[in-house]
Amino acid sequence: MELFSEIYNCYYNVITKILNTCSNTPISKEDISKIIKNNAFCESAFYIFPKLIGGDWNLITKDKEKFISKLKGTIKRPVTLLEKSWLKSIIQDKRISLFLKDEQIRVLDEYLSDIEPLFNVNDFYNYDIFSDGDDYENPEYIRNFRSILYAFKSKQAVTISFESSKGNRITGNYIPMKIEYSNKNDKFRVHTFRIYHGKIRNTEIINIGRVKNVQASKESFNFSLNIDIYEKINKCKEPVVIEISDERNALERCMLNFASFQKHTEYHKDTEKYITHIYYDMKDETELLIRILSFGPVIKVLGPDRFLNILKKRIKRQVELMEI
Amino acid sequence: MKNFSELIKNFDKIRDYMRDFFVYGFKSRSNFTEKSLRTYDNEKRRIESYLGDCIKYNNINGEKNTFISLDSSSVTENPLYSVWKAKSFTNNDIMLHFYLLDILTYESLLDIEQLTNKICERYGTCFDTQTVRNKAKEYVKEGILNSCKQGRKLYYSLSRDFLKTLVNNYDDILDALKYYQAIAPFGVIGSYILDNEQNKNDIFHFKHHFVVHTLEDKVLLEILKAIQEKREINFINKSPRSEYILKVSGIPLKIFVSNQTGRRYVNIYNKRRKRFVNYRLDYIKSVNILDICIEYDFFKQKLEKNLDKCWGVSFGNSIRGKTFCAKFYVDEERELYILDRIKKEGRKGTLKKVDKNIYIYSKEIFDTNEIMSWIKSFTGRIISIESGDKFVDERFYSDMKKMKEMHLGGDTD
Repeated sequence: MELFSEIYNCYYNVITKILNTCSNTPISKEDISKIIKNNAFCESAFYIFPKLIGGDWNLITKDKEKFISKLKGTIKRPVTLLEKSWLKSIIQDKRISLFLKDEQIRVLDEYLSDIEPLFNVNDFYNYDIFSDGDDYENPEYIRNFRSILYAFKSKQAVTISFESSKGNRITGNYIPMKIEYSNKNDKFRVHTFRIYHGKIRNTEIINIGRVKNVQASKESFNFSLNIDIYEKINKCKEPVVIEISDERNALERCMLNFASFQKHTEYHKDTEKYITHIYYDMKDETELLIRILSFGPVIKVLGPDRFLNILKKRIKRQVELMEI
Repeated sequence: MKNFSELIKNFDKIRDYMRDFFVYGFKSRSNFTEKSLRTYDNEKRRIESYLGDCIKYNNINGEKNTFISLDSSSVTENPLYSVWKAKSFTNNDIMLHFYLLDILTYESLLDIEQLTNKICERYGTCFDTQTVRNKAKEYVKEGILNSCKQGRKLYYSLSRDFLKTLVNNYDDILDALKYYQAIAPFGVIGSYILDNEQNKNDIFHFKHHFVVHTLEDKVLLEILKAIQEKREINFINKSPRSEYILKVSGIPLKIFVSNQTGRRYVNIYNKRRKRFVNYRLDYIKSVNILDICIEYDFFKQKLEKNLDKCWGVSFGNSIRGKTFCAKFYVDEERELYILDRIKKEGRKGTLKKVDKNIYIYSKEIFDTNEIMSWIKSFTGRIISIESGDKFVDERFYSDMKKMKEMHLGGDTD
């Protein structure tokens, strides 16, 4: 069982797609180019095209000006032992109940009965995960999760009742825009557009663990759903700019800690400083602030002013508390 | 001069470049001194090809920096998986892959001579029997083909295990794969399955997701094998901070994962030093699996008993096991969420109200220095700390003074 094997190579997948497309009907060079462009790496066409068309791989044949597969019919690779072994591991995970019913898990488990799991979830110790993660085995949670998943997939609005962080019950009509999972929080959240009379009122993020009820909504809408627009609404206008000192291995710690953000870092030879620009979602501003504070004086915030002022306010309060 | 190939034979060679481009991103060509500049150029070109739009460039100090820029919460598939899907192959490999799949989809139980002859007749490419046998054997090992012996001959057929036959609701398993391909260990395997199903994740996004972990998966797989078989290991450990290469041996017991700092470690018991030590997976270069450890369960139990006192990955030094205390000011009318934060992030520490708006958090910890990052995240609400370690206390108070000087410039008005 090899993890790094040509069986999973993207070229094999692209060639499978090409061969299955021209199994009965010949396709043009342009069609082949298009499949490669959409499914392989940027430069792959330079390597695949001559081998495939030139005959080195002897998989297609010319049919007038087009190409047809030499294979008897369409093909599909069976699930490998490595893949089965991985599947066996993931069905041990408690979150699998969100997707598969008990009976489906049992059938799959039975099918994989002679397969060793690739890993055991207990071999991992997530030492800094938050302790108030979602209750994945709660039937009400599972029902709500599935209803939201269904609404997302079918692009329908739903009426969601949930408890806000302040304990208030809120009910509204929402279009699920994206379903997000956080490892750190061990929670699912649904990002939504709240709608009223078919028009978007605002964006809202709802913790699925706080949802009490999900029902089909009477609201309808006639605009197209675009995740890019949703992301753009919430993106910061200016990145947070930080200066990282070279002591206490701060550079390495910072780079890895902020690796999940879109960022870029510059080293300024003249000042011997590292400057990082971090782009973030406005709704995550407090979290970013907390993470920056956790580094202490090895990070200096340079801007923007609004962010810097929030940080200064915190430090000022700290200075007052400790009378330093 | 050898022609450039987009595909790679060796995963380890590109691993460090990929990590540097993603995690750091400020290095220019002249900073990559470990290997030749030609190697740098080739690896950079490959990464540019694999990652396309995620590659960005910067011009600083007159030098061009190449880096990978992505917001991991806005991508649905880990772009770094592409390197796993770039293993090189020969012309024979790819031809035999498709020929064997084609023939055995429509016919079954063929011996190696029959397979070799059919390939020659049907496609006009003739291989020697041994070449076909080697590929068929390899595919049996991978689970793509089945083999059975009848008399003295081995007959091959295609495995009938397709995703659709494994479960009775195909759409549900696809949804699960779209989730687990990102969050499960070895998620790239989920991505392999989705590729084979001509599908991809169009549902889930992942926050606090460290896509770079995939680059450690080869090392991780070896370590987990050893854990499963209760064996000792040795490995090469190379930290970028040190010029020394360390050869480490011990009993691997658990994988420690930080969902906040982005680091993963293997916890090993070092018999010679008689202590538990954690090593970062991204610094491990190669792993050798050694003999079975007969005391394995004893060390594992010992570790489990100690976990409660680890804040992170340190088991402390000789003066370990101090009770850490922090006194917080929390405005009970407006800041109850701070108490929730302490409870959910405090890793089973105790929180006690001692006065109006005053709370004390305490926990016994092996190495109190490790908790300080978390404590500093409450800047603005910390009244005092007592770590039982003079160095830790002094550094905290000095850090707060430095923060004041750095951001307030001595002016608190």
